[in-house]
Amino acid sequence: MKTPPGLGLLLLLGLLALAFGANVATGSIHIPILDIFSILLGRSTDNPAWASVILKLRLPQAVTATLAGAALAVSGLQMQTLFRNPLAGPFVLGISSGASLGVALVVLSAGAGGATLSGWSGNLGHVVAGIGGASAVLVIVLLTARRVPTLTLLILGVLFGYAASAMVSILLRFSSAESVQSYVIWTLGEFSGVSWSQLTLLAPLLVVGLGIAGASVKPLNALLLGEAYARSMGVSVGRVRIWLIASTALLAGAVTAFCGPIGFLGIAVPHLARSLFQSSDHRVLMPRVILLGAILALVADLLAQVPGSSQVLPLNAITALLGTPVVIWVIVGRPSLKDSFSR
Amino acid sequence: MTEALLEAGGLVLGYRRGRRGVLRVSSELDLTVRAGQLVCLLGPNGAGKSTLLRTLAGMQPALSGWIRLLGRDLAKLSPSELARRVSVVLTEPMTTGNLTSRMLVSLGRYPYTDWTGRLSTEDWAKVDRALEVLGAEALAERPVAELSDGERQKILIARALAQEPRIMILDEPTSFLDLPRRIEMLALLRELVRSQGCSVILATHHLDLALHYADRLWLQQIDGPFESGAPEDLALSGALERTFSSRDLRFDSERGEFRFARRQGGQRIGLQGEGLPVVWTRHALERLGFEVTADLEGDRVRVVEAEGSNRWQWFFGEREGCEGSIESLTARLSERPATPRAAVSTSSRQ
Repeated sequence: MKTPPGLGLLLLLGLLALAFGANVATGSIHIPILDIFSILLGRSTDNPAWASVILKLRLPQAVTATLAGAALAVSGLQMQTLFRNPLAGPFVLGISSGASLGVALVVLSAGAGGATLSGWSGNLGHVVAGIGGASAVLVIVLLTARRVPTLTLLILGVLFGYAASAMVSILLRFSSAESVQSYVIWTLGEFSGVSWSQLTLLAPLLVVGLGIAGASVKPLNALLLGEAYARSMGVSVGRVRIWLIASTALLAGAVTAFCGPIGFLGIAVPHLARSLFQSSDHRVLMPRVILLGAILALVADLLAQVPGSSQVLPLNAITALLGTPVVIWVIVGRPSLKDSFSR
Repeated sequence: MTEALLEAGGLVLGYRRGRRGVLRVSSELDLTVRAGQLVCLLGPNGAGKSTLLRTLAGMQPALSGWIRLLGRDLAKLSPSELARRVSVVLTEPMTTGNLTSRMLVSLGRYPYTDWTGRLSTEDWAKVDRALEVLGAEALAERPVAELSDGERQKILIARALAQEPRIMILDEPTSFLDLPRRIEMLALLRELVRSQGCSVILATHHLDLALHYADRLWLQQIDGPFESGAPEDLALSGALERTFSSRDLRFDSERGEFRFARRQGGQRIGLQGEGLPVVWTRHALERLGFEVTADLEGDRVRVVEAEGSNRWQWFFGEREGCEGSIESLTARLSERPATPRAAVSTSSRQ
């Protein structure tokens, strides 16, 4: 309330535009910036191959990064509030592990059958498998959630992760080298594998998930005081919990299915937002977490492409390497983590 | 008689534990809470006070019986309808987030806002009014995490008040507070029910405060009858004593407080003097295990005022002396040999 409330938001929007532009402007091939503008405005350029690089590769990749970053960050925020735990996130609760197992089942059991990660029909299988796996884990987590304390729940999430990777490793043992490689590459995470046609499936899923999250800001705020208080204020806690889980399963599951299990963003961005904007109000946090998640995903993707070289680094390595120092700096430097999650 | 806000009949509290059957916490209770009443729920730990409060707040179903809120069946109210009638302050520790006090209080407007949770000017006015009633305006912009226990309790009550309930239910709101803060809290709540026309039900362990501030007491016992009534009636009828007394505790009906039952064969000692010094000297003597009398002979202590300060003259058997403070008096009493004293005091009384 001290600074104009819209100022930070405008700044983030500006940063998002900048990150999006930088993401589109860089890659393994150098394309002059003026030509990029020409291509985006639909004019012809010196090199016709450039147009196809920008329009068919870089643009869908940047859009995917934007959406996926926002989706992961929002699902992290929802889970942290629902479980009232700073370590909660899609990863910790085993949602991504479930999605990984689902995808592994599809990729590896298809085996030499020839289904690969590219192509619409193949992806539909992965998406269904990813969301199915994610939902299955979440339902188990929730059924358990009614009976055990939160800490136990987190331990269970970690255990689900181990169980899932155990099953994956058994599957790997009996799969062809080809499908194993395909799976391993999927686990490294990338935004570049998503084409426009795949985006027509991914984007609506994420928009629906984000929509549910956006519609949940009011009950999320009530949940800050715990479920008992939330109930006393008229929140149908059971119903809200189902919606939050549906949204998270949709967001985290779909992103994981299309882009691989991308770590770090889901846990870190909400903390970053709480710290930067000094608020736990979800009406403040939700749009900022969306923007911040998108910005960080775009920057991570940009760095993973190692501008100026033809090398591409694993996205997961970048999100962790880029984010960890930032988050440590932010949460150690300010006491807000303690404020947010303890009395 | 003012209108009955809450009525319950044949209410049996407890938990259904699936295949392990049913855990009954109470016998059949019949309750009435009227507008403008401050009701204090007292009872030993484990008597089911929290269960009763949770049941009345609609947070947990009763095993049987009915509850009516302003004439309507509590079980049939929607969560939002219920939230406009009843608000709570709970004991559970809460994560307050980076919330300012004002933001936390504004959550009390939850049942009245649209789906975005945005507060209208009128809503904000009610939030500020709630802070004002609690005398917590100065805390408004402070993060809740930085508040002291007493300040946080005020903010939580302000939140419950901003919900504009007809009944406010508080589970041990005084337990983390020091004595002055406890008194302040109870006085404030009583002021609240008078001025807002709502009623307050609160569980507490502080019998002395409940006796002074409650319009009505509910006494819940483990395996005993549930009793309710004006505090004075319950003291007179001995219900208070029945609820709390144990082998080592005795209810002092005159002072309205419990004390350790005096050890059998306690030494008698006379006490003379006037005013506050006598009250506190008696306090000290009783702490040492003496039975204080008004005897003018035998072992005795006399409090006198000399040159603007108090002096304690003592006569123990053959010896006598004068002390400048209660502490040195009690030190003197402690070093006195035990056996001859009993003989002296016995003989002196005959």
